[in-house]
Amino acid sequence: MLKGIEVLFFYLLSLLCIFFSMLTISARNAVHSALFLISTLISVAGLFLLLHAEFVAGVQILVYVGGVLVLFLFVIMLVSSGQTTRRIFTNQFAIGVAVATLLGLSFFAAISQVQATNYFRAREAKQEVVTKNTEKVGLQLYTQAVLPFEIASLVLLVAIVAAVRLARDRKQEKIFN
Amino acid sequence: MEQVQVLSLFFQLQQQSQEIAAGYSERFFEMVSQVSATNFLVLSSILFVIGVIGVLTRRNIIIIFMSIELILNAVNLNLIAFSRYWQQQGAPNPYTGQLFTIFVIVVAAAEAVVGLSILLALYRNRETLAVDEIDIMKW
Repeated sequence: MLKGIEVLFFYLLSLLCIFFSMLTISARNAVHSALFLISTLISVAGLFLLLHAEFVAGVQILVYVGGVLVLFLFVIMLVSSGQTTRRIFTNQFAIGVAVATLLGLSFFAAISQVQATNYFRAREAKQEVVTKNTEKVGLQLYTQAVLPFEIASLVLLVAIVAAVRLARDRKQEKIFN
Repeated sequence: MEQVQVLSLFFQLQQQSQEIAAGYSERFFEMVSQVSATNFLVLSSILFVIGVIGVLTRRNIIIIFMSIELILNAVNLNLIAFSRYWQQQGAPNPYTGQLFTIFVIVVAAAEAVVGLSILLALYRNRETLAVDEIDIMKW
């Protein structure tokens, strides 16, 4: 799927992804965790660029890094009262890791089944395609997926109303009621 | 006589297992040297498992939210990789994976907004973010 120098970039970016995601779930401070998550998301955006999905890579950086993670940082700074917790993991640490490892082993078994039949190797790269990615995605989005598109706008509206209703405190409710 | 039979059986088994191991290692080196869809499957499953570990073991509820974002990103990576795969195979409609990814990002943003505002309301009432202290419904 990838050729030449792209292979090197694939391994570099995937190592960065795994490294930063492990740091994300093991950082003691929530702000550090959010910053490591930003690094992970940027590495995943680099992988999207390698896969010639330029529009999705841009959306990933704009929406996730520019929107969602900034929101996360705001909330962390709103709620953190300065106290440091000594325990960062729950009591079910061993059980959680065991369950996740079982999940990973089952994924690995499924992937090795596919790999054993040589499915992807036998059908390697019939054609090298360089396309106008954004144009193609936009055309599909407004023809094939126009109903999900409208439903997505409705979902966002509901999310905005819910956030405004849930996040204001008692004082503001007294003012507005 | 029986001992000779057992020994020959043993050597046969050993040879077969060596052949199987050689096949596996050959396939492994093939997989490492040339990136195909399988590599992306492996990477996204690793990211998914890391996210699941985060959800199951962390105490801070904000970091649990971040792990959920990590899981969604692993799934997005899979969708984009298979979109590229079908582009190279010349499939008639290969951009569906990217459309799915865009909708996953939209729903993840909405989910993060609602979840974080619930969390703010929770913090205002309970003054804690640790999931094992939020047990008001526990009888």
